[in-house]
Amino acid sequence: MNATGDNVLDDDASASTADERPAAEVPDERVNARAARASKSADAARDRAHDRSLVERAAKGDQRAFAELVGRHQRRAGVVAYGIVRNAEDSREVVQDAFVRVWKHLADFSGQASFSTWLYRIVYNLSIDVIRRRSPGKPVELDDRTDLEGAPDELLPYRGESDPFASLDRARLTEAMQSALDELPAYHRTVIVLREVEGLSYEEIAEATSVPKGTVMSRLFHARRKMQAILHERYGKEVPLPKDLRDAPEEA
Amino acid sequence: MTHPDDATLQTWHDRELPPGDAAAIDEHLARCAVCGPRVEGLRALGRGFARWADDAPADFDLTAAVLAKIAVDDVPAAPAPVAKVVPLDAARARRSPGRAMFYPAFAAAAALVLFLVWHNPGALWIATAPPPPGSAEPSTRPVEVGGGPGGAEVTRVDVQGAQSYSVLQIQGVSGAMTAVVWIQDPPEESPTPSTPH
Repeated sequence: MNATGDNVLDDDASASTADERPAAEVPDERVNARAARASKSADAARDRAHDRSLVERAAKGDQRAFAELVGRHQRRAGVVAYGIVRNAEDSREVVQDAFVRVWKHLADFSGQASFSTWLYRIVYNLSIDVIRRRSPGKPVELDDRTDLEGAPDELLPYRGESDPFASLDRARLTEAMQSALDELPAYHRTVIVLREVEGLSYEEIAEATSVPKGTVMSRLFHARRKMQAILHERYGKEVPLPKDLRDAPEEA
Repeated sequence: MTHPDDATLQTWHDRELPPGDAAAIDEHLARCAVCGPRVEGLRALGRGFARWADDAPADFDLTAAVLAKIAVDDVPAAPAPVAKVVPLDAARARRSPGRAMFYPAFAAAAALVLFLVWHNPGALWIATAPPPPGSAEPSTRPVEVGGGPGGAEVTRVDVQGAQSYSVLQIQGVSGAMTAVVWIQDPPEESPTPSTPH
């Protein structure tokens, strides 16, 4: 699945860290990674152009074009919605309502942002509405005043010899990730899913969530730290993550 | 050796650093045993998310459901904003200084239309034609009015609110002009004009 965006490429290109391999291999790897990124970028540009074309046709009443738009984006929108509302039925409802809203407002799509960013913005707003409906009277945590207690002061390093998640079977890993996500406030879940799963840039996330780019960076940073800490606390025995930075040598 | 701070490392990991800064981090990571594991911590989280996303319960096909909902709600696709028709009251509320320069042209066009209608009563049905029953699509069929100096061609009529207003493009003596004709309907026949988004 391409939902992981650049991370898939990242993993493929550098399955182990650079300092674990002979120095001579590193330049080739970087060249390959850059070439792969360029190819991926060209694909993304073609996708955006095709989306724009579909939107233009749909805006003229072409329902087949609109159906293709739905088909192209429904799963990714569903993953984003699920990451925020954390309920399969609710996320399905969110995505359905989002596409109906898209249909109503096709003329408002300026084409400056990508269609997916525009769609995610609608999905995000509808997801927040769902969370509000679930707990009327309880404010949705949408600002950065949420207590960061429990989050480490820094990103946590991993010094194991293999994939830190390799010891978990697939079902257990999904459970671990979901459990850690559940602990995050909605605005942290949103930015980390949009970045880690959909591969949106900081600028695109800022546009989708209507917050400044600096706020996106800050939220992403805290969300990652909290996820790492929660995973370590709950699954530390199974996931050897992380080893404390202070145990590491100061220099190579 | 100075190590990049966490925020910089995250920005590098997300490929959001300027190329020059990113190259410096590349160089640093190639020879630093401390920062490699820090980056690997971020990558591990990314791999965890990749697997989580693969298993997320989002393998639904909503295409039919969405199209059905659109049909049931009778929601028209918002037409592309080629010629946005708004009631005059709303238009007045949105007046801007830049638009003011066009008012004399609009006034002249409206006067021309009124002149044509006055001298060719057969053209009146164009501006007051009721919408076809059940029609939700605006008519874009050009309708020749004919008669009068220069003639007039209706290029777009909002049938949903045609009894209230119409947009006309006129080939007048001084070239193409656009006019908005507002006709006050009797209260009992006055439909609420619907405007595109």
